[in-house]
Amino acid sequence: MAAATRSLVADLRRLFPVGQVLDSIEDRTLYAYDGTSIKALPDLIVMARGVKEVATLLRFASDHEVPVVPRGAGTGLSGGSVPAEGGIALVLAPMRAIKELDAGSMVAVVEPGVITGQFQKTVEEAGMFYPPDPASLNYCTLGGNVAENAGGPHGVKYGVTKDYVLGLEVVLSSGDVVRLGGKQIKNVTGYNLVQLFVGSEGTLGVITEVILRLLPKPPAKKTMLAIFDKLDDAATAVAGIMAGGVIPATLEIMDQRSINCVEDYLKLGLPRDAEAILLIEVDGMAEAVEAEARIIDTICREKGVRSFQVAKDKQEEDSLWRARRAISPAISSARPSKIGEDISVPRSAIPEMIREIQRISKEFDLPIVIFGHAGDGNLHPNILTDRRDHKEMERVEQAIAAIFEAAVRLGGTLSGEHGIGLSKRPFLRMALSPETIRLMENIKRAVDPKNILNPGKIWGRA
Amino acid sequence: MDLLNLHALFKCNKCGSCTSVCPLYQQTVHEGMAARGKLALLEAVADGRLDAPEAVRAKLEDCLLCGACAQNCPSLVPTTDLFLEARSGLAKELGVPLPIRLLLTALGSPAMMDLGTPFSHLFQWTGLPDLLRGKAGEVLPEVVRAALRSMPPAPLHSFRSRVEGLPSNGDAPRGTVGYFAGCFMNWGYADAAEATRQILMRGGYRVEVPPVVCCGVPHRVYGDTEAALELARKNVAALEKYERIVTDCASCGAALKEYRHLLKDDPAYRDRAEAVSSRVADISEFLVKYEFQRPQGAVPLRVTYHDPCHLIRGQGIKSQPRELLKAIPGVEFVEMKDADVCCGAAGSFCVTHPALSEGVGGVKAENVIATGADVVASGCPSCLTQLRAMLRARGSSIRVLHPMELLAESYRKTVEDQK
Repeated sequence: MAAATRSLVADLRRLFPVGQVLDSIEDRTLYAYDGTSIKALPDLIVMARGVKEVATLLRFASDHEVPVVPRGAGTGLSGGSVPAEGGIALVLAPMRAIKELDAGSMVAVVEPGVITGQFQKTVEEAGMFYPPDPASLNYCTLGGNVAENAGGPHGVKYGVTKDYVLGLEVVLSSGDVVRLGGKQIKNVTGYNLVQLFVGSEGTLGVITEVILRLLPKPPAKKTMLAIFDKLDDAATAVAGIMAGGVIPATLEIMDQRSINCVEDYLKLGLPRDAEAILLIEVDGMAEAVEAEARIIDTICREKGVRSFQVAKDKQEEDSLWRARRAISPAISSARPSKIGEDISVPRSAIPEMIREIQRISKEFDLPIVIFGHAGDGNLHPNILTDRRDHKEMERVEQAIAAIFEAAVRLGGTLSGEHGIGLSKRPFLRMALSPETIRLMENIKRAVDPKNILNPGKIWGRA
Repeated sequence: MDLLNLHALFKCNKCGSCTSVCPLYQQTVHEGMAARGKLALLEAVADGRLDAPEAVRAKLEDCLLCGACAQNCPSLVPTTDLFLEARSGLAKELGVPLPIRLLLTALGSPAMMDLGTPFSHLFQWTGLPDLLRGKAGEVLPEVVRAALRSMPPAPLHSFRSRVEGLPSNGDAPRGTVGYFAGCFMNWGYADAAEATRQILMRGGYRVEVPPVVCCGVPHRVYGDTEAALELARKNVAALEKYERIVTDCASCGAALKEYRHLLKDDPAYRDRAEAVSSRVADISEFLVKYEFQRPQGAVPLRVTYHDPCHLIRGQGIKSQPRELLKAIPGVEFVEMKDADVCCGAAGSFCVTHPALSEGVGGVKAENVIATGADVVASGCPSCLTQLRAMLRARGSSIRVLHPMELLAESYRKTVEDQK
């Protein structure tokens, strides 16, 4: 380790309690990755236990012009918390208190390290509901969700993380602490800076407290599974359901390859020749849920559904979800690695986008499993590959570029809910104009003039 | 270090799922505790990016081997198997530290264990451990205090010495059972072991207690694979004459069922190990499978049950112990929160890593206390010991028993009623 880093570590150890500053090679190896498997070693790690410590660290980092990379649980899918340029990995996972659950105003005040799924459980026990449900909800943090503006299947009806953030406490790169927004539903006092920090990927400030809006818990739910012979029929059914006045709580799609992959793995008896499966959930008042399920049934039948099942109880619900939930292990048993993408297109472009990806799969001779959120146009093509096969990985890179090109061509964008981070950085110019990128860079320079916060992300060096 | 299963290692895509079920990660929020962190270290070693074997071993030993990560891995990474392989490779490279080596040698030798038990009994009889667990012990090194806290009961006479020469239910109608009396049951929980024997005899079996040796779990855990293999061979030879093999120790049972994999590369033992492994059953599994005699005597107690890792994840046994407990008249069974989460004992882990063990054990004890139960039952002597220590530290009077002790109590009462 460089002498400069050693002296930084010695200085920081004087500022922080014992055990909160780590610099051994094994600890650095442990904080070098996130859910993408991209790796870069931090020079050292600081565990934060409160806003004061975060402010102390940023003041220090600013004085010494050392990069700081905020990290929640390190489960992101775009390399956002990977310390690409070294520096300090600032771990916020230990800040895991739910500070306040205000049932009267239906808001919650949380620290950034609270696990999303645990927060949802606590909220539901109090009769309320926090809808954003990224697939990693059992292990990702709310702070990370805000920084990446995470989504999930509930996006179609309930929106994503940004739709629930009312206020933030943020430590700026100077070490100054600012409070943005508040508990109010309506607030036009000054710029809407809350939303500037939502999805900022750790490049503008470090989130130390989040005020979240909650909803009443829907009393009833119904789960349905519709199997279609033809992808286009499934797509017109999706459009039909919305036009029919129903916004499902979730509307998930699996393509033919996903179906076959799951069938290889679980032998559930899914039809291998079917081109699409839709998994649909409606929630709300019991009467409304019944009526909505009937409408969906009718529309699916009109559009030539091959089979349509409605779950009668929790057990049947779980069995309908089984295929969708098995995609991940099914993929893992098929090939050594998977590269998961996250494109987002207008809902009507879904069948076209799926066909494009299937064409790309053939062109580059790579199995690509497609599933995702048909209701909101956010698809997750997963390329099955072997990371250690460098030749094949070159083809994977080309296939990813081709998928992004197709998405943008169809009026979509690079990422729906994972963020740009490192993994989509090379493609940013496909989706945003030079003027737009310049505006973002100017904001970055204004808020973080020394460029110490998560440098190298989104567009590279500003 | 030899890493045998690189393919499995590289399957980990660092999603983080393991962090949500790892009791040590929950306690510490430190990446090195969770499986993906350990796998990242092994990956770095395999790639030549990390050369710090002592440090890697220390990180690997920050692990309960409870198997929760393996069970919940969406990418199906066999985490625990990989950790055991890595521990074995590191033990070859670095050797096994002396205190651990002594412990493993003692465990491998019934004679040494027999010799030591009376001393442990005497020591506990003096009341010194209780004294030293309090204020007076604060001057002692942490590891000694942890050992005092985690001391299992040590009856003067081991189970095996007690049953020597006793009748084994000679003309039993349902055939012979070989009862595997594990070290911990034999030298620590002799009463529970005797309860198991009585229950089997009452069920119509002739019970033999063959001269077995340690199952080898501690040796595998510390990477001494050679010793584990040697013990496995001895046990296979001692057990292969039995059509039915029963044990009441979760860890021994899991180990015996694993012999078929452990000895698969040994041509002289492969088939014999396969045969032995296929005949092993945990006592709860055995009783439920072969229609146990309904207990009649009332045991009016509120009872909760803790799932040992080596039963629920090691052998997939969850419903059987509960079914047995619920069958006892008078027992009011209550589920505790997170019954299947590790108690933090993990064999010698509670002594080598006292702070982590107490953290995990404390959560477990609070969950036990919250049920308002009179008794917490568990089919693993290591868990029993930890539960006793954790409840005692909280001043709780909840009794800690093996399920067989409750079942035997009910049978005993039936007999008394008939008199």
